[in-house]
Amino acid sequence: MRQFSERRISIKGVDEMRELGLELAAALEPGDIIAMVGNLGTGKTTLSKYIAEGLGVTEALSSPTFNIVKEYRSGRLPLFHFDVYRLSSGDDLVDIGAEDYLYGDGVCLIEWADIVADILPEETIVIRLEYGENEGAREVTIC
Amino acid sequence: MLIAAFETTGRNASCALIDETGRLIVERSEEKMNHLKDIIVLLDRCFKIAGAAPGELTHAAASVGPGSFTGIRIGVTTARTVAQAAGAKAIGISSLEGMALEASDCAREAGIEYIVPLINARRNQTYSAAYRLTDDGLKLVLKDRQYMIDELLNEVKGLGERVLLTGDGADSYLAVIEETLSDGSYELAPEEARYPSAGSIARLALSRLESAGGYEELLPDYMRLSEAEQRLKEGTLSKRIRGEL
Repeated sequence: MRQFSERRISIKGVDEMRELGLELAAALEPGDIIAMVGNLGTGKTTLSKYIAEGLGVTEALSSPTFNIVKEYRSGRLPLFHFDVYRLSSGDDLVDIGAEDYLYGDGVCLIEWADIVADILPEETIVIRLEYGENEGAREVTIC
Repeated sequence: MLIAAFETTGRNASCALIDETGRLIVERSEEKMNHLKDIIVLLDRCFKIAGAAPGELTHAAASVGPGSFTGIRIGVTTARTVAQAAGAKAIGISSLEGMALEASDCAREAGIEYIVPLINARRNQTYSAAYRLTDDGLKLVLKDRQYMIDELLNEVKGLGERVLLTGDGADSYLAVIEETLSDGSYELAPEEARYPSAGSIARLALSRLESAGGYEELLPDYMRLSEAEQRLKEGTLSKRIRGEL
C-alpha cells in the first residue's frame, strides 16, 4: 500500500493560498482526484479557483453547489469541479454518472468530498482546510 | 422487420440496423471524447447505407448495461425515443451478453466453449458473467452481476474449463488474471472482438423478438450494488479525510 505522508502549511492570506493553488496545479496529472475537506468558508472554492488558474483555465470558476459538477476544458488538463454538499453519499454521486469523470483523463476537484468518500479511490489526494488563528489565516493539510 | 440497435455502454458508441434476413449494418464512433453525442448521426448513416427510412423501423434495441451509467442512459433513452417516434417496439439486451456474442467467433476458432466478458467497475470490481457457447446460442453459466475481481477469477477457475476473456475489464485486470489463472487455461479475445458493439446487440435482439415491449418498458440495468451492500477493503482514504492518519 502506498505510504501517505502529511504536509502541513500555514497560510496567512489569499496571496499564499494562491501560491499554493498554482504550485498544486503544476503537479497535477490526468486522472488525479483531489478531495477538498473543510467547513463553510475555509477556502475550498478559493483554492479551487487558484488551482484552475494554475491549470490555465480561462473561464471564471463558480461554485457548483447547484450543478454538482462543472466542466472546464480551456486549461492544460480538463478540470471537473464538484461540490457534493447536496448529496447524501457516494451512491448519489455514482448515480449521476460521476465515475466517468473520476476515471477519465482530467482532474477532479471535489468540495465536501467527505460526503462521498465511500466511492473515491484510495489514490485520491486529500486537502483539509481549517481556520487559522488570525483573520484570513488557514491551516492546510495535504495527504 | 427492421431493428435499430444502440450500444453505448463502453468506450466507443455504435449503432446497427438488422433486418429479418440477418443483413447487418454497423456504424461505430471513433472519437475518443464525447462519442455519445453522435449516436443519432450513426443511426442516420446506417439508414442511408441500408437505403431505408426511419418509418420502416419495427424495433429499437438498446444495450441496457452494465457499463458507464451515462452511456447506458443515453442508449436507453435514444432507443426509447426512436421507438416512440417510429411506433416501434423496444428490446433490452445485456451488454455482457452482447460482448460474449461479439467474441464467439474467436472462441469457436480457438476451440474454446466458455466466454467470460469483464467490464471494469473500478476499485477491484468487475461486472462479469460466464457464457457457454452451444449450438442453441449462448447459455449463461455464471450469474451476470458485480463481482470483486478475485471472486470472479475464483469462480472462473471453478468452472474447470478453458475460457476466452473479453472486455475492458480483461485489459485493466490483466496482471491479476495472469497471477490467478493458470497458463493455458485462458485466452484474451483479440482487440477487434474485445469491446461492445451494436452489431451483437442487433443480432441478439433479432433472436428474441418475443421479449419486445412498449418503449416505456425499456429500462437500464446498472447491476451495481450500493456501497452498503459491498464489503470493500478499508484503505487509508477515510482516515486521511478525518485527519486520523
